[in-house]
Amino acid sequence: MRNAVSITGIGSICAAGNTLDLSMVSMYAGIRNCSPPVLIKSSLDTEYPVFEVKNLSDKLPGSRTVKLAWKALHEALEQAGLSEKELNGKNVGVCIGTTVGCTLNNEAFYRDFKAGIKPDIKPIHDFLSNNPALNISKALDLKGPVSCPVNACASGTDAIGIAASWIRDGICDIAIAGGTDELSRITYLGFISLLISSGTPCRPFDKNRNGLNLGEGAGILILENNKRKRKSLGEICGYGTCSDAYHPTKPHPEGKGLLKALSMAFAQAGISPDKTAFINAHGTSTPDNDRAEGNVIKSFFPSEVPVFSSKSYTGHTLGAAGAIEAVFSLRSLLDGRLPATAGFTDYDEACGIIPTTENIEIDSGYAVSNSLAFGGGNSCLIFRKEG
Amino acid sequence: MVLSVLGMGAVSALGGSIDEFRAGLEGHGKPFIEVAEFPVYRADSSGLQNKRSQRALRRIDSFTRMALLASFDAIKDSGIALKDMGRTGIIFGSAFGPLNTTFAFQDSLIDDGDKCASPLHFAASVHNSPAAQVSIQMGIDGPVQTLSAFNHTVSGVLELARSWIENGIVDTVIAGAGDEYCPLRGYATARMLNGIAPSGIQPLDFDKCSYLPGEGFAVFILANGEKPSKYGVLKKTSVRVGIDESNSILKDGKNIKALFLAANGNNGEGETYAKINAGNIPVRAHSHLYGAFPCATALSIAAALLSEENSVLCAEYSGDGELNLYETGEK
Repeated sequence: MRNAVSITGIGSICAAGNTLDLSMVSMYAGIRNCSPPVLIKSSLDTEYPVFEVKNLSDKLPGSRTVKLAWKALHEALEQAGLSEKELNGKNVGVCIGTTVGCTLNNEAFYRDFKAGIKPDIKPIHDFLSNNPALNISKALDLKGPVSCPVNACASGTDAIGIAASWIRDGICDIAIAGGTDELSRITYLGFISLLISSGTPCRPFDKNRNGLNLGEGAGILILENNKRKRKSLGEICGYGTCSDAYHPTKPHPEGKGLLKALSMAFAQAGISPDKTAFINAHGTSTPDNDRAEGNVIKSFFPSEVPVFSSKSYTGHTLGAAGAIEAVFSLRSLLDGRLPATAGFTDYDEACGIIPTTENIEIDSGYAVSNSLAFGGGNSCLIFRKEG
Repeated sequence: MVLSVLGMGAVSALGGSIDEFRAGLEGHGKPFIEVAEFPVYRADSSGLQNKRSQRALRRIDSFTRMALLASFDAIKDSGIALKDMGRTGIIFGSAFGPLNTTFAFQDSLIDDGDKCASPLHFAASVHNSPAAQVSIQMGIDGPVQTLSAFNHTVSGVLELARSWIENGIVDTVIAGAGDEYCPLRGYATARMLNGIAPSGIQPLDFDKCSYLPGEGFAVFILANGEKPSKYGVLKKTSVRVGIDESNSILKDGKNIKALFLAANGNNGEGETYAKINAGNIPVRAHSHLYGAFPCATALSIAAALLSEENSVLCAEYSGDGELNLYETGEK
């Protein structure tokens, strides 16, 4: 018999709030902390707004990406009633996705190297010690499996799906799962070069949407089997992931891979799409993404299922996005309430989606969280709250 | 559950195919070592041009070319057409990802300014670019995943493949791992070794630092252990095993006929390898043929699967004095 996957703690940090509670308050109040970047300087004529985390403690260990993960982890562990010390030496897995955190993106170091200045290699040592999953696993002296999905913008979702399979398969009793990413000049300029960054706050599914805003943050979930008898907040019921096999950066127009991923996730959950309480869409606000995702949502789910895009409050946090959205999804189920999607005003027939335009009450049911990625990856998670 | 290894592909300093890799292990053919500022084992993926059209390879970077070549080679080696493999997934691993493309993007900023950031290099610099290209070029629309956790990358890839097959998510997994060289890695190695280049890797001399960077990519075609396998089976991977437990496994494992080490001339890791008590069974390591890089463990496992012995234990330093252990079984 395979183990159920209980969620006993959740934590997040993003521009909407440095804790999950603060994020939910911001979102229910419709507050967006989207502004020109402070951490990033460029020589571009235009400043593209981003969703930056403010007041991240310097006392946390590691790179900014790793610090964000630690901050969310502390919140999740506290809710799960676990101390760092009691995890030491235990068969606890760590699966944390990232994109920026796995890339050797130290521009100053590389610039000096190119110029023949022969820089000190401390940045290399820093890079080698800042893989978020390894950093946390090593610092807590954990003995379980450790993995770091780097499946671009679906990394956080995949990390949770993989960690859930560890619990189901009995590989570990507890798993720390999630995603983390910091804002970086490299990704900032990269997305602008691809012409998919917006010069204004994003408008998921809106007719006049013109691109995404980058963000940063982390989302962490504590997953467990029921050995510890800790009160469960909810359960991961299904996970699916499939490739479009179509294009390196564009989603399949009909969302071929996303449809398959959703089918896989619902098959694993053993439920039908009409049990869905709401969808936390990938909803980046790029023309291609929202159109493809909208097509899939229209064809797969009953028309009355509410659609929400939390990226309208967090920006696109890349490898953290799926994890932050997973945390928000479970919290919304627990709150019985779903925020309005900020920025949406005009219906787009090509998408066919009207996301939440005001905070709404939601019945008990299942939450679905979608992630689409560069490379054609599509991943989905299904949650239900406990009780 | 054990995994049948139906086919393998290997791109390394020994050549661009599993046949050249096997020949190199047997002492036929020498590794290609490029000597610039520092010696480096360079992989040869030029053979990809014979398998794919120029159009298909347009804009495909060096790292992804290694992954593509190893994947096509592995499928050819299996003798099974892709369409007959059933539901197929892809899992790749890399510690560093497409390094040269990562830096090519930074070159565009440094050389030409922020306004000239290269969208092509940015899009191809994501770690999952190789897996995505294999998926696109082979038309595999099943699950596709990429992992990156330094010395835990290869174990993660193989265990996820096992999970997908065991849980019926797919029938077959194209599982692979590798890393590429870039001049910055050469510079970092030179700095770590105070500019003194070893004459060549001596992987079984654990006291000596003989580390030289390399690059390569190995791919395994994996299926349920009940399927007839060309190279035997991969048993469960054990991660973070202490030395005492590793030695117990070796002592109690009557069927283990050889020990393959992923040792690579790094004497820091050598301290742990030196504590392994293999008893009377032969101990082998092959990094002197393909160089040092975190995912070279995949080539070590390929070497183990190619060995004459039916049952081999592969050990990889996983950090903090512990090992990841991979066991092969009956062909």
